Amino acid sequence: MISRLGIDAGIDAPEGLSAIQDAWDEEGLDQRRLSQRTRAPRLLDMHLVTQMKLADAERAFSCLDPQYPYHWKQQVRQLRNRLTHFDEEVQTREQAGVRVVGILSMNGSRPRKGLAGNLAFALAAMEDTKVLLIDAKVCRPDLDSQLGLTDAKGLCEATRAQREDLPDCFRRIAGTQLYLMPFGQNTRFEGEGLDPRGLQRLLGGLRKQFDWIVIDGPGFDTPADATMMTLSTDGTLYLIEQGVDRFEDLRLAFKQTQGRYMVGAVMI
Amino acid sequence: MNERGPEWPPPTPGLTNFLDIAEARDAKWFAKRYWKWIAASGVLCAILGVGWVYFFPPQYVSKATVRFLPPQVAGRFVNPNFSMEVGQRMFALSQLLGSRLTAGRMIEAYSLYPERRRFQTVEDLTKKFSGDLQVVQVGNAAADDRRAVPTLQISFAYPDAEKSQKVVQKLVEQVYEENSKYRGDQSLGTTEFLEEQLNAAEERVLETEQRLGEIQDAIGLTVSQTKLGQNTSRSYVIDSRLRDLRHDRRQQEERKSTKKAEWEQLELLHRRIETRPVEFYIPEYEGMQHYWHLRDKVSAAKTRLERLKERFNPSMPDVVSAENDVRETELEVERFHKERGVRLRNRDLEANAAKIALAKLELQALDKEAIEQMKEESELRTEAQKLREQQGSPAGQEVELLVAKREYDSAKEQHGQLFKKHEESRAASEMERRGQGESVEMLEPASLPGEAERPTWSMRIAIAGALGLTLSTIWCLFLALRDPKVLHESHVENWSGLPVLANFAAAVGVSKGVSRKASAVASCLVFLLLSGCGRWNESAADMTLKGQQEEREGRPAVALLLYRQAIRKDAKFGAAFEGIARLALKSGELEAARDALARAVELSPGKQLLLKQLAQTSYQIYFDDPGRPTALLREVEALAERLKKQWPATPDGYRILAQVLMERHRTDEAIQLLETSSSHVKNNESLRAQMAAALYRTGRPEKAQEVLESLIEENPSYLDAFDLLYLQLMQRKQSAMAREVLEQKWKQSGDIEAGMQLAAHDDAHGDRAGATKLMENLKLEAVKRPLGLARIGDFWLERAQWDVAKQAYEEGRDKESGKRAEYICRLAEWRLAQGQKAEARKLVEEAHKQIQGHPLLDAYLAAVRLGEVPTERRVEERKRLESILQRMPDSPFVRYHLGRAYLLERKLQPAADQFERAVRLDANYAAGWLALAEVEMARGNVVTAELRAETVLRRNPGSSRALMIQARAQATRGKLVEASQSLAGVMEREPENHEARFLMAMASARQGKLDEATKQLEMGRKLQPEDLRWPLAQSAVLSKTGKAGEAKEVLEKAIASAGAKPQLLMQLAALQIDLKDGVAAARSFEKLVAQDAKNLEYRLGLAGARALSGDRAGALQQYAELQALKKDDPRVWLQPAALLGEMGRHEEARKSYEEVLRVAPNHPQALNNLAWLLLERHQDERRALELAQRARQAVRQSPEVDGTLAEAYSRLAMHRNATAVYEEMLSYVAESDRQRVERLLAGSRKKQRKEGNS
Repeated sequence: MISRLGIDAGIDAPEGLSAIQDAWDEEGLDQRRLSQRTRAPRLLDMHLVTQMKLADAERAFSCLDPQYPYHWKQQVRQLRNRLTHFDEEVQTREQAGVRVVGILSMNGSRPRKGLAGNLAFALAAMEDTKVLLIDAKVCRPDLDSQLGLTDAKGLCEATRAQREDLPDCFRRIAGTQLYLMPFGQNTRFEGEGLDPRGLQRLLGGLRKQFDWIVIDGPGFDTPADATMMTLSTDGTLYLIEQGVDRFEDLRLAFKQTQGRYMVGAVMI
Repeated sequence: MNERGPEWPPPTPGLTNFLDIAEARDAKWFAKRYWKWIAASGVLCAILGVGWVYFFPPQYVSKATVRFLPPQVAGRFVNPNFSMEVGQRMFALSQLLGSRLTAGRMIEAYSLYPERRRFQTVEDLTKKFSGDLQVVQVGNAAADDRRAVPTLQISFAYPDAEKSQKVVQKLVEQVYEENSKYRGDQSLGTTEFLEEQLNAAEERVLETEQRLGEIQDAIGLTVSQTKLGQNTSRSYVIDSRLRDLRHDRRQQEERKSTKKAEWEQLELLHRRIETRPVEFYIPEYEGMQHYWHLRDKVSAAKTRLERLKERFNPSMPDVVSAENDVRETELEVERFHKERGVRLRNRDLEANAAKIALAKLELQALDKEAIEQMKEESELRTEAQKLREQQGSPAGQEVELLVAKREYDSAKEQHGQLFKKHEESRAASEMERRGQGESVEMLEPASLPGEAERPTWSMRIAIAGALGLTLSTIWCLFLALRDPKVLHESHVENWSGLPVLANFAAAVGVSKGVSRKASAVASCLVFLLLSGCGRWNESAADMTLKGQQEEREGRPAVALLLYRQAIRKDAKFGAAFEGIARLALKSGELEAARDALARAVELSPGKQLLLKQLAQTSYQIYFDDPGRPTALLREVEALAERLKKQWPATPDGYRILAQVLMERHRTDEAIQLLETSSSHVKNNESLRAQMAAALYRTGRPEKAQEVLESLIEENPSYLDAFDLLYLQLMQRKQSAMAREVLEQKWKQSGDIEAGMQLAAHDDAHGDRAGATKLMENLKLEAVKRPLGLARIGDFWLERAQWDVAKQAYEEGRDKESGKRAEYICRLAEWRLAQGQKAEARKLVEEAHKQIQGHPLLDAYLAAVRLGEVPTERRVEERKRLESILQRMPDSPFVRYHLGRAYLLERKLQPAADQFERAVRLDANYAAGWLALAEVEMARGNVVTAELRAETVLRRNPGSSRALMIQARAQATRGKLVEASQSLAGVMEREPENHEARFLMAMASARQGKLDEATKQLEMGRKLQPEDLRWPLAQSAVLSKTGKAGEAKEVLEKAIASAGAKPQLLMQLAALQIDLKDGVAAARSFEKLVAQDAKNLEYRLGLAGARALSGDRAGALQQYAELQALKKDDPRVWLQPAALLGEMGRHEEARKSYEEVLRVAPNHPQALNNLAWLLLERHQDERRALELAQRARQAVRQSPEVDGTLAEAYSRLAMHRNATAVYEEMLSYVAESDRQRVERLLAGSRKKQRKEGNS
């Protein structure tokens, strides 16, 4: 923030500095306006997104594997149905305003049985439903490898990108309404790939363009990332590993998401 | 769900609240998750149960019962020679059966506990055996039923039924054997003891006879002396007759007073009969018919008259005649009645008169008898007076003759009694020898048990398995619930209310293999366990070798550690036990040495030295124990037998066995054994010396002397023979010959010790000059030997010859530079002996600075500081000494001072232990013996203290400290004459010994020699004017002799010279109160109160003194102040109560007494006084009786309390009780009170009789 140097301190400012100050005043760069400008949603030019074949992205959707258990397939569908007001037990999207769902587990390094991908795929299978799957597993991103991409741009880049650069961070499965965003290259930003403000701005734009945004989030074992993700989403879905996760972990996770909407839990 | 409450997130479920969300499938999960662990634990515990069954198998209990039958010869003919009661003996037998000796024998004989013997020695298993064995007294154990036959039940539990039976059978046999052996030994011992006593008595008779003869020869027995003797015996007769007469007169007086009372009664009766009207008498049976006939006639006449009056006019002649008839018959009846009454009254009067006459006669007879007795008494008194006058001052040796005669008579009488006892004892021994004494009979033979004790083996395994399952389940539950995991969707929903939208894990179990980390940790643990934490590669032999090396290099603590580690490595490694035994022997720990030796012997049965050491150590422990434990003696006997059997050509077995036999009073058998041993062991010195000892014991001192002399001649280098001969000769009071032996020993050995022994002998026999000369010669020799001059100095230090001792030490210090520290320490000791603690400390501290790291100097520094440092720092010094002891475990000096340190901390038992070890390490360590004696005195073991002091006196008869302890012990035991003798010995050597003088004065005072005591105290007071105990004791003694004025003077002088010390003032005040000088006493107490205003004693004394001086109001005020201050002290109520009673303020007095009883409900004085007050005031006599009874329960034989009680009984008309109390009072009251009590008793008896008559 630029302060009125010298004036506030009661010192006569040099000529150059007071001129800049005047310029600022003239332009009316008050705090409110600055905030509006920085938080302005960024839209995706969807037609510019690179498309890829489903066959190439099969690894990202384990439900496409013939070995994938039927029971699990049923559970994915059930989950989708309950999220999309199919089941009355769950609050509807309109009621809760849920459009961005973060899937967070207790431990980010443990496998999740491809739940986010399968859910996104199941949602995209519905008519006129644009779905975006974002890989936000900060510690262990895997979507790029599943898609066979190397050095691909993704979420990290998207949080800082201009509109024209955004399409490079996305992939679309050809013939479907399913868009994918890998994590990107975290190392480019010295380990601070995710810009939280940028993420909010990004999701603000994308929320308007997609019916569902499924974020495969980090684990609650990395509380900073987890909190950032829960703050950015409309609701959180907890992945609980049966017989492995402790009640204490769960309690801590609830504590971290306190004040945010909790969609429900999924036992894996 | 998203409407969260204030307690969000909910608390984690755990051990306490998991059940709130639990479901049945959780149990299923638990079983699935942990079944392996639980099952494994169950199996493991079952395996352990198998081990339990293997090592602690179920046991079969065999039982046998034996009973003790009384001797076959009746007790009235032959008294059994046995001091112990049957119960005690049975207890001793049961102790023997449970002893280590028996246990060891049984384990060996029946190969018991084979599994355990793989890892443990027999010695270790003896405890187990003792635990399995049960010896119970049945029959008379529970009650005091004298008719019950003492019975012993022996039971033994063992896994093998047959072995169990065999063991019990063997133990029963042992009971048979031991009973006869034990009784035989005791009986023989008693006979032997009595024989010794008889011999001594015989000697005494001979001695007195000889003395009597000598006196008679010296003075020539003339008529006058004979008469003197006769007079003396006549005096005894007269005294005895006078006593009888006095007794008779008392009885006569009693009879007389009774008779007189009877006579008075009869006189009264006589008067009553005389005044009695005739109508009182009803005619007797003979006259009765006639009387009634006359009465009938009267009635008939009256009836006729009435009839006639009804029909006719009264003037009719028939009516008149009838009236006359009536009158006549009535007159006749009256006449008859009168005649008869008069006759009966006369008869009564005659009978009573006869009785009165008889009573008068009896009274006259009694009077006459009394006059005769009084006459006889006065004659006898006159005669006794004459005789006393004649005997009053027999001149010269006449008194001596009389004394000698009395001594002779007493010695003869004692001899006669002893002779009788000895004969009886011999008869009893003979009875025991023939087996006709008390015998043992088997009531129930050892049973063969058919059923094992529960739990059986299968039950044990099942119990172990179940226990394992339970414990592991509990543990697994704890693990699972300590930090529970989410097991299914219901957990999430029930716990948090969060809906589960999908469940991918349904019907999927969780299994986890053992992680790499866990297996790595387990492997490490197993490795550590197997490696034995570092010394896994070292064998027991290596460790023992290392230990031996350390031992050689003078690091016993490290060596001991290594030996112990070796034993931990291999519990059956004999050499390690040997090392431990060696170290323990070195540090004087005999019990530990014995334990280690027992194991070493078991593991190395072929080593003769070990067995010999074990036998000797056990014998030493036995000998050191004043209780002389028989079981230990049996053990020594068994070891000696084994030595003899295994190595018949060595003397040790024979020697130790002979010692044991002598200890068992079988000296003849010991001699026989030693004689037979000569065929196996040729000319062994120790055996011959033992033989001499045995011969001396059997009363053949000449033969013993002969044996020793021949031994000395043949083998002059065997110095023990000289010592033994010296001791025997000294016991025979042949001091000159004993000296010659010592001289010969010195010449033979040329040893400085022998020379010092001779010097000690000379010094003890009053030849100080000779001893000094001898020591000067020895000094020339001593200079050449290491620490020789130290020994010379020690010799003189013990005899309080400070200058000579110092000279020797200083010379040694200058000449022996290598031993400088030792000499400096002795110089410090020298200073300490003279009470110069600060100088001693300074000396050692300087030396300590110069010579660093010398352990002896360290020890001395700690020792000298001990007495100097304040109390709170003593613990530090003690700890320092303990650490020095680690470096010098075999130093008697360190142990002695460590003992002192404990003593200063008032820890008597550890102090005694250290002193005992000090004297065990060096039997000549006089300081240790004396300290031990002092500890025993402090613990109240006066006899033991005297024995310890005697040990020092045997070595150094002139030791003042030992004599003082002996005297104190004797005085405590009431042997005042002996105590005075011991103290006289001290004062002869040390005229300046004030302690001895004081004790002497106290002993004289206790003997009634008050003048002598006063003299001693006066001298002491002059010598030590600053010491208050002299005037205090002197005033006490003077006051006792009735010279209260002089006592007061002594105290006043002491106060004038030493100032107004509280003790002096207190005693003076007490004396003033005794003298009824209340004003002076009040002054004294005022001074005391001025010194210490809070002292209750002083203030009470002041109040009492004021009361005595007449200032009763002041006294009461003082008491009131004290009552406000200390209301819970009975004294502040009791004294004013007595005062109020005296002042006649009875109600207040009563209240005060009630206050005393509130504070101390059983205060005898308050109880008695209150009771008396009530009786005096005729109030509540029942309560008075209750109070008096309570007072009597608290205090026995108090004339005041008993008097009150008797009075209370009397008031309540319980005359019989009152009489009984008065009769009891007569048995203890002082002569001055006797008459009063007798009077009261007579009164009570009279009342009792009256009561009986009525």
